[in-house]
Amino acid sequence: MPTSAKEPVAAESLQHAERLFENEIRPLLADTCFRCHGPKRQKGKLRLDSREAILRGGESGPALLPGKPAESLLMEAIRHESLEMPPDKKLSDRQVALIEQWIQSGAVWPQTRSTRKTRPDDSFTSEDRALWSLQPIEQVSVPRLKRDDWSRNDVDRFVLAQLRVNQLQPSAAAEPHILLRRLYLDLIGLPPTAEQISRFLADPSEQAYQQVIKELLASPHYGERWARHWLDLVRYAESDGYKADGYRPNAWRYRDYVIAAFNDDKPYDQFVSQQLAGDEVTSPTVEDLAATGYLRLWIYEYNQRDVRTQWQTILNDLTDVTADVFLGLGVSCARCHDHKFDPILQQDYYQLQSYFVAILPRDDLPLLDQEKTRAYQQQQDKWLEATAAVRRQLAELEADTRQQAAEGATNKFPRDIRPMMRKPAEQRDPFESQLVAMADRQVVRELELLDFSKSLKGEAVTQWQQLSEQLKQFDHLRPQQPEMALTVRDVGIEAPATIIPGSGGVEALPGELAVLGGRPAEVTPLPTGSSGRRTALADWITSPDNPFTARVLVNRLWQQHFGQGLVMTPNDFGTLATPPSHPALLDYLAWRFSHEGWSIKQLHQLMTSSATYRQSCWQPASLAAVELDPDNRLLWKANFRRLDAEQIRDSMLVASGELDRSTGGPGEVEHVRRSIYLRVIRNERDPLLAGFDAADGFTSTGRRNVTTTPNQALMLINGNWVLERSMALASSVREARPDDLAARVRLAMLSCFARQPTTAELEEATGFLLGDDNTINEQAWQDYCHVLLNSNELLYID
Amino acid sequence: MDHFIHPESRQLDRRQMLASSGTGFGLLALSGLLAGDQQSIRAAESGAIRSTAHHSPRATSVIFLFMEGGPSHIDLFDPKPKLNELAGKPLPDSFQPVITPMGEYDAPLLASRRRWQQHGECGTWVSDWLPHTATCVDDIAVLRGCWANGLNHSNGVCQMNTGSIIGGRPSLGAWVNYGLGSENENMPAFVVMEDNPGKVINGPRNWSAGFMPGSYQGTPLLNSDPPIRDLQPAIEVPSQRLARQRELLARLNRRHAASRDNDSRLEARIESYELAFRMQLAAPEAVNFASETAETQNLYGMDQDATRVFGRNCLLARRLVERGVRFVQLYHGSGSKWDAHSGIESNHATNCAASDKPVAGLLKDLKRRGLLDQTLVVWGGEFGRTPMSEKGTGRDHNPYGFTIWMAGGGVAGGQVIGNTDEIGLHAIEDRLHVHDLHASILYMLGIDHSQLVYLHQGRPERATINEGQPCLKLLGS
Repeated sequence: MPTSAKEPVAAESLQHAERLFENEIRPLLADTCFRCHGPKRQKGKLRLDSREAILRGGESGPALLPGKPAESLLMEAIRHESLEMPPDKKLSDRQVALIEQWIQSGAVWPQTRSTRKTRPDDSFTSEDRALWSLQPIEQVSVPRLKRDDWSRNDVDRFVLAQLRVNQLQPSAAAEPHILLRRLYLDLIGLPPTAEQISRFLADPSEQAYQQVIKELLASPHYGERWARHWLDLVRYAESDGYKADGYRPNAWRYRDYVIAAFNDDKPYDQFVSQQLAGDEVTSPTVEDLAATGYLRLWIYEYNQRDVRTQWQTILNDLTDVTADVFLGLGVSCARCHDHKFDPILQQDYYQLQSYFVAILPRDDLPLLDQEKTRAYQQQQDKWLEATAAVRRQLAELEADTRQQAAEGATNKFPRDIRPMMRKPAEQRDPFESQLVAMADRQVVRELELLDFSKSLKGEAVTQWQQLSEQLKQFDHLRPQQPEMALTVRDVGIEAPATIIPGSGGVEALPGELAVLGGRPAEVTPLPTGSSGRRTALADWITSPDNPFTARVLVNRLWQQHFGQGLVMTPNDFGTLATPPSHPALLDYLAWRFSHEGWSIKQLHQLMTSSATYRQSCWQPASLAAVELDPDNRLLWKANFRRLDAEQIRDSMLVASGELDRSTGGPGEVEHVRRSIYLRVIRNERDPLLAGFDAADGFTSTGRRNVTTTPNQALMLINGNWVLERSMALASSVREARPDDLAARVRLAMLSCFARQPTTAELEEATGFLLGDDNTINEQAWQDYCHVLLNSNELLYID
Repeated sequence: MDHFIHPESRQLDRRQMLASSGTGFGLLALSGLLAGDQQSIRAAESGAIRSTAHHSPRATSVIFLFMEGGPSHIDLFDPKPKLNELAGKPLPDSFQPVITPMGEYDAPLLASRRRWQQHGECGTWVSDWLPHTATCVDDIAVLRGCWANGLNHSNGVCQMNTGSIIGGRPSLGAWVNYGLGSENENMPAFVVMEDNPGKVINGPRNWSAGFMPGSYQGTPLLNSDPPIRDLQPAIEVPSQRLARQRELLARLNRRHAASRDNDSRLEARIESYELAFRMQLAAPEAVNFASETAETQNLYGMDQDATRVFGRNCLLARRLVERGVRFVQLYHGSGSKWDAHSGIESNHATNCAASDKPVAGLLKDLKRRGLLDQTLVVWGGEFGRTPMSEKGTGRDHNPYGFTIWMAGGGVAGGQVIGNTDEIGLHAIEDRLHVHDLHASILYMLGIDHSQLVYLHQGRPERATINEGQPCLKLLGS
C-alpha cells in the first residue's frame, strides 16, 4: 500500500489497480455519475469522467485526494455524509468499498483511456457541425472582376461576380426621383418633401447622392426609423399584455434609448452589452439603465397567483427572444426536448436561460444622473426628517389594517409560496426571493387600495385625518418624484439553479452552445452584488468569434435595404433556413462590421452607396433573369416593396403637411407625430398600424408579414383618419396654389409620389376637377387628394 | 365592375398557381401569398395541403359559442350528488388540492342548488338553468372531461382561442381560415361577435392571426350600422361622388401597375378595393333581418328583452354560415360576465336566461334548414368553476375539469363523453385538453391537426402546438 499518492506505484499493484479501474470503477462511474458529471452536464461544475477533472473538482473543491479516501469529498458524498450522491439511489456497500479501495490505491486512471475532449462527438452528426451559420466568420477577399464599369464598391463586386457566374447582368439604375424616395424611406422612414425633391432633381450628381446619404444618416429621423426595426425584434410595447393590460408609463425610456443609440451610431457590441447587462457595470449611467429595459419587455399578468409558473414563463420568454434577436436562432423547441432540426440541445436552452436566471425586476430606480440623484436624495432626506414624527404616528395607526390586508393578500397564494413570503428576507434563498418579489407586487397593489378613512373606526379616523393633513403641510419640502426606469438587477451574487426539466435535477450553467464546443462561460461575480452572468453572455455574444452576432445583424440591415435578406429568414439561421444567397458577401460585411468598430451607419453607407442598391425594379437587362431567378436572390434588380405600416402613416402625414417632427417622450394615443411615438398597447393596437401588419409586441418579429386585405381598403377609402389627412392635404395645397389647377396637381403629386405629373395625368386631373363653370370644384379637389392617398404609388417603393 | 379586373398580360406565376388552385381559396388567402410571404409558400409546398381537406370533412363551418368568464359545469351539465353530501366541509384529503386564483384554499365545498333531470331519448342530464338547451340534447355530445392550463381569464380565454396561455399565436379561426379559406370571397372567412362589444378579455388579440399574415384574422361584426368597421365612408358622401373616386383610383392604380409588369401584388391590391366594395354590399345584406319571419326571430328569443341581443347574434351566425363564412365566434357575457366568484345563483340565472333560448333556437333553426349537418356548434367557456365556495356564495375558476359541448357538423349527438371526479374538481375520464378540443374541431372540418403547418422562425407551427388528438368518440358508434 502506498503511503502517499506521490509515491510511484509498484508495477504489480499498478496492473491490479488498472484492472480494478477498468472492471469495476469506470463502469460504476459511467453508470451512476456521468449523467450529471460528465461530458453533457457538469452539475456543481464537476466532471467525473477523467482523472484531471476529478482532481480539479467542482464548486466544492477537488473530488478526491489520491490515496486519502478519508479526506476525499467523493467518499463523503457516496456515503451520504455531506453531499448525498448519487441523489436518487445510494451505492451498495460493496461499491462504496471498491471506490475507497481505488482512491486508496492512488485513483489510477490509465492514461490511454483518458478522455480529454470537452464534449462527446456522438451528439452531433458531421452534417450538424457543417451548418454554415456555425462556421467562423471568414475574412473574405473581394472578387476581382475584369471589365467592370458597373461596380461602385465592394458590395457590388460580390454581387456582380455571382451574377456573371449565372450569366446575368444587373438592371439599369433607377431614375433619380425614384432613387431619392427609396433612400429617404429606407433611411429615415419618411418620403422627401417637395422641396427636398426639387433640390435633388436640380443636381442628381454622385456627389449630391452621397451628400443625401450623409444628411439622412445624420438626421434625428434616422434613429426613429431604425429603432422601429429593433423594437419589432425585442417585442417592444408599453403595456402588460394580459387582461388588465396595464399601461407602463416608463417603458418609452427604452424606446428613446434605442432611437438615440441608432442616432449616435453606438457600436453594436456596446448596444448589445448595455441591453443585456447595463446594470452590471460599475456606476451605471442613466443610459445604461434605460437600456436594460430590454429585459423588462415581457408580458405580465398582474393577478397571477401561480408565481412559480409565472416566473418560469418570463424566463422562457427572455431566453427565446434573446436567441431570436442576437443569435438568429429559434431555440424554443429545445425548451422541452433536443431541437429536432437544429443542433441545439435541451441543455443548450437552459444554459442560455441560466444567464438570466438571477434577475430581479425593479421599478424603483430614478432615471437621474449622479448629481441629480444626490440632489433628489438630499431633498428627500429633508422631507423624511421633517415628517418623521407624523409618519411614525400614521404608521402606528395604520399598522393593524396593513398587517391584516397583507396577511389576507398572502393567503391568496399557493401553500408552498406562503411560507416564503412570511419568512424574513435574509432567510430566503435567491429563488425564493424572486418568487416573493413577484408575489409582493400583488400584495403591494392590494395595500395601495386600502382606504384608512373607511377602515379605521371612531377616534382613530379623526386622528388619522388630522395626521394626514399635517403630513400635507410638508409637501413643499418633498422633491418631485423622478421618473423611474423599468430595469433589473440580480437577486445577488449567487444565482438560483437552472434545473433542466426531466433531468432528475441536473443544473444548467452558463456556457457556449454544445455544438460550438460547449465551453463553460467564465463568470465573475461583481462587486455590485450581481452574478455577472449577463455580462458573460454579452461578452460571448459580442465576441468577434461568435459566428452568429455579426452575420445576423448585417443580414437584418440588408433585408431592410434590399427587401429581403441574404438569408431569407432573419430570425432563423438554422438548418431549415435557406442558406445565404451570397455567403462570401455576408461574411465580408460581417467580418468588417465586427472588426472595424461595429458601426451600423458604416454598413448603411456601404449598402446604399452600392450600384446594387441603386438598380431599377423594372428594367431588367434581359428576360432571362426572370426565368432563372424569379425571386431575385441574385440581386439582378431592386425589389419592389410595399411600405410598412409606419411608413404609410408617416408618409400620409408628410404629404398632408401635418407631420409634427418633435422627438422623444411618452407614447401618446392620438397625435400627428411619427408613428413610433404612438402608444403601444398590446391588446388595443392602433387600427391603421395593425391593419398594415405592424408587429404585435408579443413575439420577436424579424420580418413582418405583408398582407393585402379588403379591410385595409375600407380603412383607407372610408376611414376617418385618412379622410382627415386628405382634407389637410387638400387645404394646404389649395392655400399654396389657390387658382392654378395645374400647380395644385403638381404640388399634390410631388407631396404624395415624389414626382411631377405627366401631361396625361394633368389632363385627367383637369377633367376630374373642373366644374361646369370651368373653375375648380373644391369637392372634387378634396376627393382627388383622397384618391392620391389611397393609390398604390404612395403605398409602394420602386 | 369588370373594368376593375385587368385580364391582359396576366401571367400566373408559380406562386399564383399555388395560391389560386383548389376550391374555395379566396383572394384573402391569395394575397398573403402574393405578398411574398416565404413562410406560407413553403408551408404550401411542404404539404400543408391548404384548401384541400385531409379527410372527408363532416363540417364546413364552425359556430363557437363562447360563454366568457367560465360557466359552472357542476351547475349545468355535470351533476355531482357527492358534492351536495359534502357541502359545507373542506375539500377532503382524497382530492388533489389545486391552485385557485382567489386563493380561498380552505373554503368549504358549495352545494349545487340545481334541480337535475335527464332529457331527450338519450337521457343526458341537464340542470334546470338550461331548459331550452335541454330539449336539444339528442343532437349534443357533452364533453365532461375537459381541462386547460389557464388559471385566470386572460390566459384561459387566450388558450381556448390560440392553444397557448400566452398571446402571440394565431386564433383557431385564423388557422381554419388559413387551412380552408373562405367559401364566399365577399365576406370575411372568420367573423367575431360580442354581446357587449369591446368588452371581451384580451380584446382583438383573441381573434388575431398571431404570427401568420393578418389576412387570416377574425373580423369583428359590430352590432351597429355599419356592421363592419369602416364599411361606409366616415362622412356621408353622395354615391355618385364615391363612384367617381373609385373610378379615378382604379385608373391611377391600373396605369401604375401597367408600367410595373402588372405585378401580382398591385393586382391584389386593386382587387382588394373591388372586394371591399362588394363587401359593402354583401355585409349589410347579411345582417339585414327583413327576410326572417317573426317566428324565426322569436325562436331565437329576439322578442324578449333578456334574449334579444344574443338571439340576434345567434341568428346572424346562422345567416353567416349560410353565406359561406367558415368560422363564427360569438361571445356571450363578454367581459367575464359568467365569472361568478360570488352570488353564483343570480349570476348564472341571469346568464343562462340570456343565452339558453338563443342557443337552442340556433340549433333548432340550423337543423330544420338542413344546416346542422355541416355546421359544428361548440359551446363552452375558458374553464369551469370549483366545487369549493368563494365568498360563501360563489365559485372560483376551475381549469382542472370542466364541460364543453359540441353539436352538428358530424358530431353524434345524445352522448356524454368523459367525466370529472365525484365533486367535479378534476377531469378524470376521457380527459380532453384544449389541444384535443382544437384537434377535434379541425378534424370535423376535415383537417388533420398534425398536417396543417405554418413555418415560422424555423419552427413548423401547428394549431395544437404539436400536441393533442381528436376525440373520435365524437363521431359516435
